Amino acid sequence: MSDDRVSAFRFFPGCLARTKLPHIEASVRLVLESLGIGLEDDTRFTCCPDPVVFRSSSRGDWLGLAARNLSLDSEKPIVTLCPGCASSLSEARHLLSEDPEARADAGARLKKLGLDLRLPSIWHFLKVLFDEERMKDIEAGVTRRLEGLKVACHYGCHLTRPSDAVDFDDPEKPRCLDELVALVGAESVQYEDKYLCCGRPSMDEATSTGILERKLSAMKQAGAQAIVLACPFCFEQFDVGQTLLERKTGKKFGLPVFYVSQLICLSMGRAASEVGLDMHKVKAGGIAGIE
Amino acid sequence: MYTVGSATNRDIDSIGGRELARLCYSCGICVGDCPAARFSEDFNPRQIFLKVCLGIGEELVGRDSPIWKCTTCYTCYERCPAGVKPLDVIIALRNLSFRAGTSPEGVSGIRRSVIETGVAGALTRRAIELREKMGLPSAKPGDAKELGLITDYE
Repeated sequence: MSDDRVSAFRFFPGCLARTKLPHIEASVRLVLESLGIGLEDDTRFTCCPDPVVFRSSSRGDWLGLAARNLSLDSEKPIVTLCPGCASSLSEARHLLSEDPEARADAGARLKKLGLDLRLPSIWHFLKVLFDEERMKDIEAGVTRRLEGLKVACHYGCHLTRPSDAVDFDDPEKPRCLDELVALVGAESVQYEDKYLCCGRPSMDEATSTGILERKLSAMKQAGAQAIVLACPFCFEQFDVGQTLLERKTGKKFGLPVFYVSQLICLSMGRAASEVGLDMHKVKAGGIAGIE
Repeated sequence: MYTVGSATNRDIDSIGGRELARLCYSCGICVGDCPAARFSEDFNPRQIFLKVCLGIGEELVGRDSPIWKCTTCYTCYERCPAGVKPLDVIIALRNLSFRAGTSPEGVSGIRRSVIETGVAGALTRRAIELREKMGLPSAKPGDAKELGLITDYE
């Protein structure tokens, strides 16, 4: 038991979950609160901004906006439900710590807003959960083990990369999702291309759907009944993207998607409606006793 | 007006892109597990760095460039033994393409949304209602107007 465990954070809402997936945000808050973790909100947080599209317009602007989010007069650690936000803010933080030129450029921007550069620590919520004591707490809170449920864990990319800035789990073979899935009694099936990207951030549709189809086929072939992940963009790709892909190709995958926090909530006895499973495109009803 | 040719090289230099690409000794590890290389015909990170290095990368910042196929997965970033930081080179090229007005449409739309409202993507009435229903705090970012003060190209 370490005394330096962080137990109070500012909650960073991101963009996609904030605007389109509030049920996922609700499930993440429920899990963190059930572990006694205090969350503060700050409406001044804007988009991280995203490390893919926004940064493609201007790296300097990306760094400036990220520096603003980091520097809103508090050193209190930031927790987010999105690997894109965690990775983007961590990379900005890393650059601002290591690169004097980047620091000077962002500093000049912050000065226009009357802000001094701050570098609070950045956490994806899985980094908060993936801790020996907290894993025990989660296990102790499980009232309904999801026995018999076979899931395909999908890690995506930004949860652990770039590893020099993110510093979480293994950048090539992460295991946090597999361990959490085991904790709630479900089985993580091994499948080919498990560590492959979901395809969503590619701005070329054929590349994006080609990757998606490969992933879904491999998951299906391995006997998965559902997908477990922890990224809003991967979620959209596998939920909405799967529906569109089925319509376009006539193939049937039928793999419902769970945010890992939703799965934990269900195992802790929460109702499907509390975590918004009815809002998913691919319905989860009927598997592992889920309504 | 934005010009390609030597200006491209100078701009790539200014963002550090060519400096990084020069470190490349063409081992190809960046291609091996690259999702975009595997699932498309014409995305090849090693070739991109070679072109940047040789100063013949003009078409990379033109319309429909393969640079936009990259999924930003950082696999190459983790594995590159020469320290090229391949994704930084691609982001530098994308920045030049955006400035030249040749980037895909979605880029300026998302950029505008972030700078003007604080978030990428519209905060719809439905989202606001759902957030209320689920007991979540307001999602409207404050002080978004100030973002225009600290960004470069508007």
